[in-house]
Amino acid sequence: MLKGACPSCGGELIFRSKMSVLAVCSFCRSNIVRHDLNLELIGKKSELIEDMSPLQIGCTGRWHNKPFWVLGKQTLSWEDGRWNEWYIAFQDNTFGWIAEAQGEFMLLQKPKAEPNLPSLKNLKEMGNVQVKIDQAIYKLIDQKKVTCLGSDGELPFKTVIGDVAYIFDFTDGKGGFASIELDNFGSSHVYVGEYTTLAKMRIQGLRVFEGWGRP
Amino acid sequence: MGATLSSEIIKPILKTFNCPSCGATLEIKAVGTTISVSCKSCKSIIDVNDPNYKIIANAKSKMTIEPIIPIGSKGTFSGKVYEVIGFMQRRDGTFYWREYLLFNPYLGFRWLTEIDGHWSYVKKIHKLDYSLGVSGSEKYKNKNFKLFNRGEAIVDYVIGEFYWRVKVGERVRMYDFIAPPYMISKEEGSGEINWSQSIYLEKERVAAIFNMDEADLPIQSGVAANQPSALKKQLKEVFKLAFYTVSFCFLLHVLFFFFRGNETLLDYKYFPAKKYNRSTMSGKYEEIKSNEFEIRGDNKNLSIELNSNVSNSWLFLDIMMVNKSTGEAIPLPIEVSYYFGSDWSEGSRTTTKYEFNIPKGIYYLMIEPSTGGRTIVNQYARVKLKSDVIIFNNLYWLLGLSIIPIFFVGIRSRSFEVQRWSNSSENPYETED
Repeated sequence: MLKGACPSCGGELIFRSKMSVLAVCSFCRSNIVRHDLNLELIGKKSELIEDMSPLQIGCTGRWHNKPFWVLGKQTLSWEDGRWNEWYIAFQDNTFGWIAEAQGEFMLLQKPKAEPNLPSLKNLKEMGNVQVKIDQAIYKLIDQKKVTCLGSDGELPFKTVIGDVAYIFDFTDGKGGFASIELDNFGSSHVYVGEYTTLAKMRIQGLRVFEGWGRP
Repeated sequence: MGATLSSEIIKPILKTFNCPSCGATLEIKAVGTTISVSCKSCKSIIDVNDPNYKIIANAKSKMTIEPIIPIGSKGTFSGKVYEVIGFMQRRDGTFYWREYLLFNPYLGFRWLTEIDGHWSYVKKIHKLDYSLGVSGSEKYKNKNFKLFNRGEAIVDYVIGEFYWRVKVGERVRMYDFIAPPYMISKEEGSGEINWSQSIYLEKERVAAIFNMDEADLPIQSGVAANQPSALKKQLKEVFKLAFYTVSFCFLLHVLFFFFRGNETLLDYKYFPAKKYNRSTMSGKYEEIKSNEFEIRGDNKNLSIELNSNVSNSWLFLDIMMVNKSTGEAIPLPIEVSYYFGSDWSEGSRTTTKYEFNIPKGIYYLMIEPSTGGRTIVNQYARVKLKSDVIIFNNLYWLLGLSIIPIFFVGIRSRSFEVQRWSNSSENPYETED
């Protein structure tokens, strides 16, 4: 854990995970990037996106018996709506995402081995693409252009509001999902995972909404 | 690594805005997920993902359908509360059905559908092999689903909020596969494929879930695609009962077979001959006496079997079984007749009859034959007597009796299925009408 002061407002800024690169100041909502011990102010201020998501930064959970913490949130928009990507960190210094869209949750982590990817620039024009990730074959089912609407807490990369990325969704036909993200810096990120529920992830510390009882 | 988090009870995030078309105040419940709202007063559809609340479509007609379960109603489905936030009517040709979108912030979305007064609870499934779903059957969670309907679903009317861009007139291709009370459906449209699973809900359950009066729900007609058949269950039970009864009795018979004596008392074969009577100038069969035999043990049963080479003729034996010591006689009349043509036959060359509760003792038979029909050269009669036999005929009767309820329940069950499939595009009974 790294504690520092926000270069913009001077408020306390905490990086809870070594893997985090960016944090949103909880007081002034500035985007702060960490360079070892130096903190740098980048981009516009991050807007706070209010929604009915039951998750919040600070929630804990377990995945395959490994505890994780929810450290950050990124809201992305695309042509037909928006969704949340919750940044989760495991004790063993690995991280993953809980993707929350249309009331459903997917937990995604980095594959065991970095796969050989088809050229992602070509991917954008191609229809029937397959990739092999961790011995499984995934088929392309969806691709979309996304824009970052805002973020909160910590994130493992420097994406800020307004940044554009491309996302390619794949399925292995057996319940497994893979997602390849091509960010605005030109690098690609691969994640694999599956659909799940809050109960299966054993999430604790969910938001409690009046009239909906304790989850 | 723990962070501070708020565990206080917060008010649900609500978003209100004014309809850009008519000014009515509209509310969004699933904030962050809802992307289109159909105005409750003017029926315009508004894109709430757009910061300026762009109108996607103006109302096409002035038609108003009041959802039976009003938007904003909360219902408890096996302990989980859902709120009705959207309602739409869809149709395929002249079939109309209604769908209620249900929302729970922790569990996401479900649907309640209603067609002809029949209700189903629906959830999205991630059936991932997208190429599947056009053949006659599908396997899901180890159940076989039969293709029930191939058709189109056209949005006819919408009100409330949705997590996709609803549009009146939007069409998707639909495939329904049934394994009552379940149904899985595939919807295919504009590059997207969605699978869902429905489970049939009894009307009284729907009324209880929403705390409504059952009489206020639409009247049911026909048989729904995924309506479970009580008759099918009943049929299974009658089958089971018959199977167990018959098997039990069969085992009992087999057991008897080993413990019963099944003792042959007499196997007597002879050639009945007529004796010519000079005074009457006609032939008459003589009465003959058989060997003696002993029945050991009281109250034994007895089988008598007659076999003869009758051919388009009959042979009747008037038999008396006589107790040697008391002179008491038990009548055992028996007949064989066998007639046939080039493509038919009637009767049999062997007959078996049973007699019960025979007192023990030494017996002999007095046999007096008579014949009719064609005269047979070298006609013989073979009489076999056995005591302590198993009678399999009882089993046949039992089998016959067991089939009766199966038959009647079967007919009713079938007519239920015929009614179910009458709404199907894949009706297997169609050719019979």
